[in-house]
Amino acid sequence: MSDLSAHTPMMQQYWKLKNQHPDQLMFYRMGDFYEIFYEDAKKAAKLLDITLTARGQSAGQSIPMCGIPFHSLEGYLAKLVKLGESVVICEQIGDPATSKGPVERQVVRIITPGTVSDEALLDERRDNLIAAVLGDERLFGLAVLDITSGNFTVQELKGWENLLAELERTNPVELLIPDDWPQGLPAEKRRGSRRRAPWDFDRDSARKSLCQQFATQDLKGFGCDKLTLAIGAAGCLLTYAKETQRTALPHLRSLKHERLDDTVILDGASRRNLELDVNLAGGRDNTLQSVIDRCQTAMGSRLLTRWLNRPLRDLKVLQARQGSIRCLLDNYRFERLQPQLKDIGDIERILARIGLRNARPRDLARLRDALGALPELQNAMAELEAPHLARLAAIAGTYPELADLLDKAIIDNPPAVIRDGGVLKAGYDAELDELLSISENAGQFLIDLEAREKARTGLANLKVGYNRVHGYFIELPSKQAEQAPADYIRRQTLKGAERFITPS
Amino acid sequence: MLYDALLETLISHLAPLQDTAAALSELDVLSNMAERALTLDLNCPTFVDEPCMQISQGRHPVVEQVLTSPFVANDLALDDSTRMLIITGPNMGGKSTYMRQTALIVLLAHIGSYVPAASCTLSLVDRIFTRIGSSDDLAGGRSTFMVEMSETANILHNATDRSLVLMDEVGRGTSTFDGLSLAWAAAERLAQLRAYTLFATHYFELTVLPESEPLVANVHLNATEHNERIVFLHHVLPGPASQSYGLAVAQLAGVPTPVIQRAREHLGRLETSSLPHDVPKAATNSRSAPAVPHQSDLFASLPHPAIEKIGKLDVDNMTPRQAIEMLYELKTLL
Repeated sequence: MSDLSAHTPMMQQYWKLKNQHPDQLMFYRMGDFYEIFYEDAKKAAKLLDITLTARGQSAGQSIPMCGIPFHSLEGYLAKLVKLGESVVICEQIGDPATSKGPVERQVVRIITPGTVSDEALLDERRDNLIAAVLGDERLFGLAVLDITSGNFTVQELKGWENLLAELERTNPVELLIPDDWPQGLPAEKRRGSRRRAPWDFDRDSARKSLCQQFATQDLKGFGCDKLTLAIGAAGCLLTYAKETQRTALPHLRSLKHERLDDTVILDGASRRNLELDVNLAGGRDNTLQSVIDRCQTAMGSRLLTRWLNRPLRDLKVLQARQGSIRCLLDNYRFERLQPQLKDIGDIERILARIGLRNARPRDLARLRDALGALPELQNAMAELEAPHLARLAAIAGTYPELADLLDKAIIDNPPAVIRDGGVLKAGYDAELDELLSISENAGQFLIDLEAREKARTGLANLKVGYNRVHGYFIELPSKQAEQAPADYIRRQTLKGAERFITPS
Repeated sequence: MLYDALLETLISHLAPLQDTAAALSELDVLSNMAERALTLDLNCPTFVDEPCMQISQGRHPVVEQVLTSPFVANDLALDDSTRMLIITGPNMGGKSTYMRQTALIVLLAHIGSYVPAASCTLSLVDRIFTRIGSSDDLAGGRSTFMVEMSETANILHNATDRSLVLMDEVGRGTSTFDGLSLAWAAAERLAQLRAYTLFATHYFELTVLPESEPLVANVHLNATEHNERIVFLHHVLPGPASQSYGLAVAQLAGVPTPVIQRAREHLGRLETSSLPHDVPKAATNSRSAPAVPHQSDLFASLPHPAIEKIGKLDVDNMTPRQAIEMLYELKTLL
């Protein structure tokens, strides 16, 4: 594939991008469709159950192709991610009206099972984790990242037994291992394992990029300074996350050092036998979690599941929790808190999407409702005298300015996607209001404009029209085109008519 | 774009907002635990420094939800003088449930939750091991027995005197003698490790273990016959199972009376002739003397190792020195 000159210009562009992502499906934006070519097309057609067809020829061969309409991308991505596939999204960057040859395209996002953040692609009651590991039997470094919350942990483990038990506990959907590991190691048999170049795990550059990410001098503050292997793994994860998201990751703010010795250790078999959150048949019925989880928010359910899978040996923490439960049982205080917590919703993932800049209008509406519910919740928390609960209340705080801002900005029930428009409230921004009123009163505005221009030019056949390419225009019959005022700019010549626009 | 500017504003407050989300998640979990404690009748466990595990009226939180009949709660008492319980009793009698509920109670205590028991006092545990049931690991190309043994190996390598170990029917996956020998040796090893161990077994022979290992005690799950049917009472009682239900079940199933009578004769003969050789015989005043019934003839047909050895000797080609050495060696086998 090194010589692309035999290909059509479009396919040359395609191959230049595709060659950088040989192992992932590439969705290539073509107008209102995402198209998929060659081997990717054959694979995608099978997985998605869509028709495989062909799109012309290039380099003397017909091009296998399948495609999906851009507006139904989400559903197809969900299906592929569930199947463990990764998808590279290529968008048109250039302006079709002004570019010569194929419109410029760019990879804007890579969707992988472990780095998705869209609500539609996630199970709201489960953590969606990605892990990286390096080292050998003497000592492994393991890093685990939840991109939908920002939780980022590292640890070092001795021996395969411990490593495999930890992988079983965290159950990452993707596992990155160094390419210089021998083939066929037990870790590689896990679903979603991928090999990455050894230099992605390089400790010095990892340390540097982590410090940069957290805006710190070193990693001492996280208690991770001595963990060279785990730092290498964490660096690899950070690189991978950046590569797939193609945006800053402001919600990754710290690294947590987990120690096996802090926990009650359960090996994989024991975990399965006890049916903590998955039963022996692989379902979720009749598990311990199904009985003890009545959390009001999805983020609460996820935290509880994490606790269940990582029992602790720290007496202080356990007694603080016991004291909190006692306090919440007193006078049935939990009954007042629970409905208020329900109003808070899953802000953990909403905040992550805000950090990733792919928050939907509805995310902002829910954050607005959550911030609105905070003051009352704070009042209820004020009477909780257990020290641990008081500490939580102090952390929670309230955000009246942000609540107010969102309240003013976002309409009550915004649409699912921003491109549908109608997200922001009237009164939030003066310029937007004016534009909105023009668009709402467009009919009247155009009639007024036509009448005004007719009067100004004295040309009775002047018409105001619209098409999708040029937008609004003023049309004059060819015979009268000479008499157009000097400020008209010629845009298009038709048989028998000329179309003009005016400077704005 | 206005929308992007709005996102930027929010991003500048991301840190405290994320901390808020984390705090409220925890508040949600704790409120949930309070609600569950009330609804499911859970109580606060007490952690103590001296090694022990005392559960009174413990229940299995999942099974009691599914069950239509009332759940029978049971006690558990392990401390420095009793580290292991050998659990016997009929199949379906509730051995597995008893063991699993213990693990779940201990686990819930270690996440800070209240637990399904009237009261619970325990010291911190470092590991929970379970070797319960198993299926073939077809994908990994390992048989049931191989899976069982590698799990057992892991336990024997890693258990400490702070670990909770559940062993359910270890050795079932192989021939009777192999299985019993392995179960026996594993139990002895766990007793030496002083791990908190619940050891459920259908090898009745293991109920003599308390005589050689003072940290081991017998308990059993009881059953009774009522209206010509076996009724499982699910109560955990001290001592080994006192009655064999195999014959009773056979009788109820309609096996002809003469056959049952003949079976009783066989049983009696086997029980007198098949006592294990390496068990101290002075069981008369032990608090958990092995009761009469033995369900199988495990050791009856097993030749004594010394006899086996003599059979293999090539006496004609031995030097006098080798012969005397062999004699000493044989003596150690007795």
